[in-house]
Amino acid sequence: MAARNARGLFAGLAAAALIMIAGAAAAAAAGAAPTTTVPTTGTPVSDPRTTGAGEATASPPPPSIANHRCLRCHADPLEKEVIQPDGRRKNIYMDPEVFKHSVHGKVACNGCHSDVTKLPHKKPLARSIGCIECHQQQRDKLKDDPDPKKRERLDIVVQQTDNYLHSAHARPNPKDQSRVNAACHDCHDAHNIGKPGELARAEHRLKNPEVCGRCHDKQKTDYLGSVHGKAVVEKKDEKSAVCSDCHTTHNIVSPKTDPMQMAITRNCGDCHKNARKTYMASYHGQVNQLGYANTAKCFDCHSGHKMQKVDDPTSTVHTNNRVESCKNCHKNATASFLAFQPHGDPDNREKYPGLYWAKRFMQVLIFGVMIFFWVHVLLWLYREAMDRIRGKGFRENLDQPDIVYFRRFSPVWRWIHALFAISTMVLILTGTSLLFSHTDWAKAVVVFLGGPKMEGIVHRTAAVIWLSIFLFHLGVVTRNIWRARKTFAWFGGTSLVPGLNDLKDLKNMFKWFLGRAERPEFCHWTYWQKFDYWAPFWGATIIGTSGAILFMPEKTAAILPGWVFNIATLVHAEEALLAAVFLNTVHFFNVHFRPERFPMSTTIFTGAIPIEEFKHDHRLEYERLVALGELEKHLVRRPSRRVDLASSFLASVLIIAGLTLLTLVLYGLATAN
Amino acid sequence: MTKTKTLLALALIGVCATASARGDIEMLARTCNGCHGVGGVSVGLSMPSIGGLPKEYLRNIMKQWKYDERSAITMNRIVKGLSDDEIDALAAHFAKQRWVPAPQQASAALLAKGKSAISENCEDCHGFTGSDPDVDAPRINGQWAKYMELELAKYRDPRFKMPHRKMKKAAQDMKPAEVPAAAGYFGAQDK
Ligand code: HEC
Ligand code: HEC
Repeated sequence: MAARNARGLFAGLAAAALIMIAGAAAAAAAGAAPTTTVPTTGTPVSDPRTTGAGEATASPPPPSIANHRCLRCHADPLEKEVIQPDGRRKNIYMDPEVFKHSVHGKVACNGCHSDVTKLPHKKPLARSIGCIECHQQQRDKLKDDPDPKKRERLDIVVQQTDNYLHSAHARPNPKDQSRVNAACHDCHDAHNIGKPGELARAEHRLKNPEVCGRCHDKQKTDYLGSVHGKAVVEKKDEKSAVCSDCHTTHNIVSPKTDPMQMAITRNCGDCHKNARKTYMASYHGQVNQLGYANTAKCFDCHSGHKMQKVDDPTSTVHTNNRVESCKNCHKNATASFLAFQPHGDPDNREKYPGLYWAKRFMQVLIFGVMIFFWVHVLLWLYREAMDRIRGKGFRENLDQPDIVYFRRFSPVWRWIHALFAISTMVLILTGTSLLFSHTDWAKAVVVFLGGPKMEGIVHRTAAVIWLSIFLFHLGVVTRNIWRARKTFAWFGGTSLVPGLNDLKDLKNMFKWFLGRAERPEFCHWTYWQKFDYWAPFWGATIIGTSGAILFMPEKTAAILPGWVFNIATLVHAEEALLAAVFLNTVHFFNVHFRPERFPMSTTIFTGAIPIEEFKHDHRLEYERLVALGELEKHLVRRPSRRVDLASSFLASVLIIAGLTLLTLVLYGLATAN
Repeated sequence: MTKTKTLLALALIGVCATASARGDIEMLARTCNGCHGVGGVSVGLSMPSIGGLPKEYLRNIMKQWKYDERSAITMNRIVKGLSDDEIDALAAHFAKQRWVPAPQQASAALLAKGKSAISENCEDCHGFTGSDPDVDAPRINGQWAKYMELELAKYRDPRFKMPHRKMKKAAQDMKPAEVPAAAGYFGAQDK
């Protein structure tokens, strides 16, 4: 998405986060195990040679019949064909030169053709060649060999034969169940198997469409007309995709199955690296990466065997045909879909300037905010810690616990905050499980929720609640201001509107951090509280607007051009990340974790703050109220034990949930490539 | 008397005419007995046994003789008088007979030499004792050694038309001294 790069850098910063980093590391270690079993394609011809590994296969079984005796008939160029007893002609020729250079060049003929035990042999000869068993045995022989290199290649062969055994080709042929759909020799010319890097392999590769096409005729015809097919057949371009590059070599199962569709999608990216990167960052790709095949995959848009370049008028993604292709899934796709960039790359300034600058803007915002506040957090922590050591600072008097509390929040704000917090967390969880679809936790979350569709529903439900609360809060604010319109002070310590005094407070706070002044005194709202208010305000606007656009993409696409979705997706994700990290680090520290408050403050749940604490944090407000003689109006009794317990419990749950989310997000950021 | 004879003869002809083709073939095959022995089991040193050889092989070589694709000293002339159908029938007839080997005495030295010669060059198509031939080869266990020697000489001599390339090559690959040894070895085998 937006910020692959940003995430990398971000992850660097995240390392500085004092909280949870150990947890993230542990999670990273746990998640390092291989996650998927779906195969990738076989070793491409361009792979570096595995030196000497080929010889490993060539330790021949004791030859009971010397090869030259077989070659008398089977390498006679003048009589390549014989007439079999049943009257059929059969080519029995094998080029001895070719064979000599194959990996099996030193193996006795009847090492594989093992039912030839004497000459002359039976005709016709049954095809009973135990490729799989033999490779297994050869590998087992080398099991205890100290040089793993010798085994390396055989390990791959055995792995591949194992894959084969689980593939569709190893299943009984529906028309004749005594045969498998395709056996080793149907695809491999066993007398001409090259070592990696050898010509024989390149030839085998170029022959791949022909070999598969022996059975898959229609697919072959389609393929030969495609860009890939033309490149392979006409230009002999061995880098262009052949069947096995997409379908895998041995683990082939029906392309109608999800795992195969996903494997094919990933395999496209073995060559089209950038396309895969941008695809995986899009919603289509995120769902795919989570393990579901129900969003568009490469071949859904580009078509599979008939694939053409985008500027080819017969291509399914050509401008003239693209909307039709979109309609395969998005029934109501309109021409504005054309402006959507399914592979939009926010790091490519020439091609996607809008996305590029949107990403830069978001990055500056994220880094600016996070760096500033993390420094703020660290210094504050340092100052309070130092004060504590010196016996200074605010401390609860345990001999005389407060029984008088100051009422700071009316029930409506407490409810708004609680619901907002809960829905935000749900949104973070369901949103980042898409954003970090590469992680195991994301996959587990989505499975837990019942798949990406359910996840979408949960996210949208939480979003509706979240946005409703935001709008409701706007209503309450307007009402409150309206009611107090005569006396309402827009600026100053009792208003949330930031003013110059906040800048001054900030400056003095830093002085205090550095030990150059006393702690400044605050009125009703401190500057960090104002920031805690306005940051989500801004966030809600950005996330809300972009989220609304993404809410019903087909409907919005009827009004807005497609590129808006690119921007909205990017901005939505970046802003949400900022919010997730900010809330669960800076906000948590300011409110709960700084030594004066540790482990938590329940004021937002009980609505009341101990009077001493209030005096300490909001002395100006206290003095102002005392001077006005209004303090009494705001004083309440200490919350009951039950209310206290309940709110501590709620705060604990939310804090733990928040820290867990933070861990997941940091882990996601750290592991994003 | 002559009349009766004539009548008898006519009657015989009638019998013959109504006789099955099988009878014809028996008759025809009997003409071969003089040289190849009863049932194709030859008794003569340079005369091959032919009873029990593969049908395809028999038919093949007789046709080759007939159409001058293969050299022979005697047989080409005999076969010329036969129709293709008669050749087919004769081949089928002799193929149905039992192969009766005529194991001949040979010195241990010759046998040993023969054995080493044949395991290098001949076994792959004829089997270890000559009784397990490849699809297009005849049995040669207990075939008359003298005959085989003559035959091998033909395979070895480029002036003779012998169409089977591989047999020819195998024969030519032998050293001259190995020829009688190989022939003696195969001739000595009864199974
Ligand atoms: C005058 C003797 C003579 C008669 C009669 C004769 N053959 Fe032969 N046959 C030979 C000789 C001699 C050979 C060895 C090949 C050659 O030199 O012609 C031979 C070889 C053969 C062979 C090859 C044997 C082998 O092992 O390759 C066949 C088959 C054969 N004869 C079939 C027949 C048939 C069938 C008839 C009857 C129609 C027949 N012969 C009649 C003399 C005869
Ligand atoms: C490539 C297989 C092959 C090899 C090797 C081979 N033979 Fe033959 N042999 C044949 C075939 C086939 C025939 C029948 C040929 C024909 O139709 O002319 C034959 C015919 C013969 C005959 C004639 C048999 C007959 O009844 O007329 C003799 C004798 C013989 N082989 C001996 C040998 C000896 C000795 C060797 C080893 C030097 C040998 N062969 C190697 C395939 C082979």
